Amino acid sequence: MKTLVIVAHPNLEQSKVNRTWMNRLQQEENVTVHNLYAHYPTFEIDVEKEQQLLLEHDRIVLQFPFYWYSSPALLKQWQDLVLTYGWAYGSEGTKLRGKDFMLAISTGGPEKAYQAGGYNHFSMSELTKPFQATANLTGMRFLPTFTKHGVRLLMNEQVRESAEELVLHLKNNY
Amino acid sequence: MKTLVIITHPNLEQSRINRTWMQELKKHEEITIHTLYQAYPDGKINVAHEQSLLESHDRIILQFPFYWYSTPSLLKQWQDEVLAYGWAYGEGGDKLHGKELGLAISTFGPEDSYQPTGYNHFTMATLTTPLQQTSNLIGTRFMPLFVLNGVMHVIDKQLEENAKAYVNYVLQPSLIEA
Repeated sequence: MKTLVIVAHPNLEQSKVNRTWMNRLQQEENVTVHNLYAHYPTFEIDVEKEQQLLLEHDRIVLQFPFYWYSSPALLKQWQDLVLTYGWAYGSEGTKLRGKDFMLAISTGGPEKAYQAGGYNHFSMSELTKPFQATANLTGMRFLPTFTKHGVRLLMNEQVRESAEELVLHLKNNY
Repeated sequence: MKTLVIITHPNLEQSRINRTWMQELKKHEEITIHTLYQAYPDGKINVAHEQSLLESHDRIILQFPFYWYSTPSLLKQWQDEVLAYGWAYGEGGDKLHGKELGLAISTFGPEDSYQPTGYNHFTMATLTTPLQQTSNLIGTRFMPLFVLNGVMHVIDKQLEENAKAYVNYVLQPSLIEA
């Protein structure tokens, strides 16, 4: 099985968690790491190339920091431009059917904030419903999300551990 | 009360619903209309200008077509850049506290698709929780949604009435008691 990890972080150089995850994933066989902001700093996405990448892989992972309870803007642009009618959805849009779809998300807020009564009120499952619905409409299987909360407070060792956890999560059978 | 409507549609000229809504809003000069893709065709948002627009209004309506169960990308970028730490949230980030935030959304899918047994599975309220929680964190009062589903099947007469209902939504009395 071939896995594509699309990394979307506008400031990867200054990121600790997402950069560590990306570097770790690059060591894995059968994992392609695709750094979206590095490819498209001006947001001009090569739709054909992105679609080709998707076609060549069986499991699609979107890795990003949680910005306003969603993805950074470039990943939204990617969804809007790459997942086109007649290709990804609609009666003829069957190209992604049967693939696996997974999210790998880092959040600044602590785990306990993401529940009723916490300051973020909603759970990760609730807040990622737009992605789950996207997987549904494109015929992909929505796998459990990998989340690392409270990333600003992590020690270096914990960041490294989280990268190992991500690898296991990503390679798991579901 | 001063109302700001931020319209985000990458193709407003060719849009039927969002353009009609905008034209109806334009009949009411007390409403400030701000079209985001026209203001920033190159995607470079003037954060100071956007923040000052927000500060000078009491009610903010985000109007957009539903793209992948969320906003078009420029409106996401607007959130990421304009709603800054120390301004909109976090320590000292109280500039939007006490304002009202509303969403006006057009969807391709019909109303009955946005429920557990429909092909979109989830309700509009569920799919917009990221924006609802954004509203929570920036301290705005989240207004009930204004939604027009199934836009391909809306005939002109219905759209005309819907646009008037939209203006009533935008201009409704404040939800926050003085």
